[in-house]
Amino acid sequence: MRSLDDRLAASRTELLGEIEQPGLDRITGRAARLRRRRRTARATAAAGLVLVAVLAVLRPWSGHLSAPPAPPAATPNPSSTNYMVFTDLGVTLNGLNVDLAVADIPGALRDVEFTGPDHGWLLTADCTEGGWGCRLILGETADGGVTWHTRALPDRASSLATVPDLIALDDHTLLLDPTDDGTATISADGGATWRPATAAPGATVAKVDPGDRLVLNARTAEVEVFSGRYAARGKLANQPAMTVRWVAATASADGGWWVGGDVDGHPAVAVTRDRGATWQRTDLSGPSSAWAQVSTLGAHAYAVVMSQDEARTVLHAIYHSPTTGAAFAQTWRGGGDPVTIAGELVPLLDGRLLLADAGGIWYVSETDGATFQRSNDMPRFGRLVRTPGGYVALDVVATGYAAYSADGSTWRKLQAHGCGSHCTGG
Amino acid sequence: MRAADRHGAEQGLGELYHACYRRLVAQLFAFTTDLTEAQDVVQEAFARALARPRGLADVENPEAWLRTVAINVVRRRWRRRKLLDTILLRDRPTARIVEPGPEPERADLRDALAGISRQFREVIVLHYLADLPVEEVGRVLEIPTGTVKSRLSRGRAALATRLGGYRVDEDIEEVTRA
Repeated sequence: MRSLDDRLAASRTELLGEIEQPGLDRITGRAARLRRRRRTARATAAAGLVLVAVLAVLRPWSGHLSAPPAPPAATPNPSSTNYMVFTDLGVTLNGLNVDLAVADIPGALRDVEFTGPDHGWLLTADCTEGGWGCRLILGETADGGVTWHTRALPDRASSLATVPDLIALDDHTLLLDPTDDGTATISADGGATWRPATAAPGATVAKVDPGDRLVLNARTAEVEVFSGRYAARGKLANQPAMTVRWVAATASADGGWWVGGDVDGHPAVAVTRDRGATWQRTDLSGPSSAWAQVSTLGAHAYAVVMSQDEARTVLHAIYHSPTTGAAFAQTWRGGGDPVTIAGELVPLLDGRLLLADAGGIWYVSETDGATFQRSNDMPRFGRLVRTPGGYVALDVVATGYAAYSADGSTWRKLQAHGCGSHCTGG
Repeated sequence: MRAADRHGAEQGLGELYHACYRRLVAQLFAFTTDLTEAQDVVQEAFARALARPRGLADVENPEAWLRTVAINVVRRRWRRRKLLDTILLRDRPTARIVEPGPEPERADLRDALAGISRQFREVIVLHYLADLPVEEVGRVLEIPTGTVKSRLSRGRAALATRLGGYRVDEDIEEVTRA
């Protein structure tokens, strides 16, 4: 019988023989990247503090359009917290608090909207096997997504594909906007009661008042005003001269409302700064069938040109305007990663841009979109979406979780769970 | 930091790198059971040493420092993977977040090592494959020497059972090179 000691001794020789020792230059290169990362982190933290202080004093946004306060800074040491912290490229995701319950909400998570740092809503669709016939469930949080109260809605969707969009105006007023020929319904009491949102035939609204929100009627491609005061919606009298495919969730810092879409198949964006009375349109370059949408922060506006390729949204170009959209200059011209975009571009307070691609990978740009750096350490997210009270990342790693951020830099997972993007039925 | 200081730190670490790299990788293999990952964490430890303003000039035992850093990197990654699986996915393992890294072809012995208890595997690899004396194994794992010997004895028995056809010497004092 052979000796185990001899076998172990032979294995030691084999193991050492298998170890390849790379040149020291590889290690020095790695060390240089570590030093750069530390310097960037220090500079980012310092710049962030200065920016936050400046913004707090100057308040470049106005009145009800103010950005919500940033959430508490992430703690960099996971062992001293009861939640996991992921940080890369100066962006932080705080994971679920393991000491708190997670609301397990039936159905697929379809929409999340926050109207402030504390108040938010979510919508799930609990469908039968195969996705036909869906019960709609509304969730509400008043503590930033820690605890959720749910209620089943009287409306149903015929299939997962026709689940209505949830549009929140404030802490009480909600709109369920169907994606098929169904009737939009409005609730003015936090989802307790609902009524049809159809305005009188032919009725138009002359302007969007403070407290109102512009929405897109996907069936008619018309811009409508969703009014909190009257809990009603109506077509905006003066429509932008383009086919609208996207409407901003909030007004920009200067009070402008942006819309995006195309003009005869070519991408274009438009803004109204007089509450909808007139529109200034900017035509952009892009392939036919492309359209555009806009992200803003302060005086900076970014127009993103994209097109649909089956289930993916292909990113074609990014335009930057430091003058609230008076003039745009192209920064991103394609030719590298990211190839796709999921949701919206997120301008960060430190001047950088955050983007998620169709695979859920996050990218950060320090050059107004001219170049992007890929994150390798962050969990994969689905779409990034601007809502009235901050940003939402939907479908974290396709598992039915979502995350919220007031500033785009620090995210926290919501303590609520539906089934993920893979989910089609109960 | 002055360029001359950095050059000096790199030179000192370069010597250490050539002298200790393979030994450290073999030791870290005890914790990773994956040679590729063991090499990566040791390289990370050297990179962190180089990124320090004075390298390891102020460290009394540079090799022990590198080993501790590498072990901490392994444990942090392990905790992250475990938490990713348990926190992000909760009770619904609908998608695997962290895919296991590419693994080299393992001989029977490595399969058997991967299959025994972690406590046994660590002492066996550190002692037999990384050639650390029993006392040093105890210092690395922060356990008494007697515990190391006990685990070596029981680990070898477990290993022999998994491998089959091997003789195990009973007296651990005779087989250790302490």
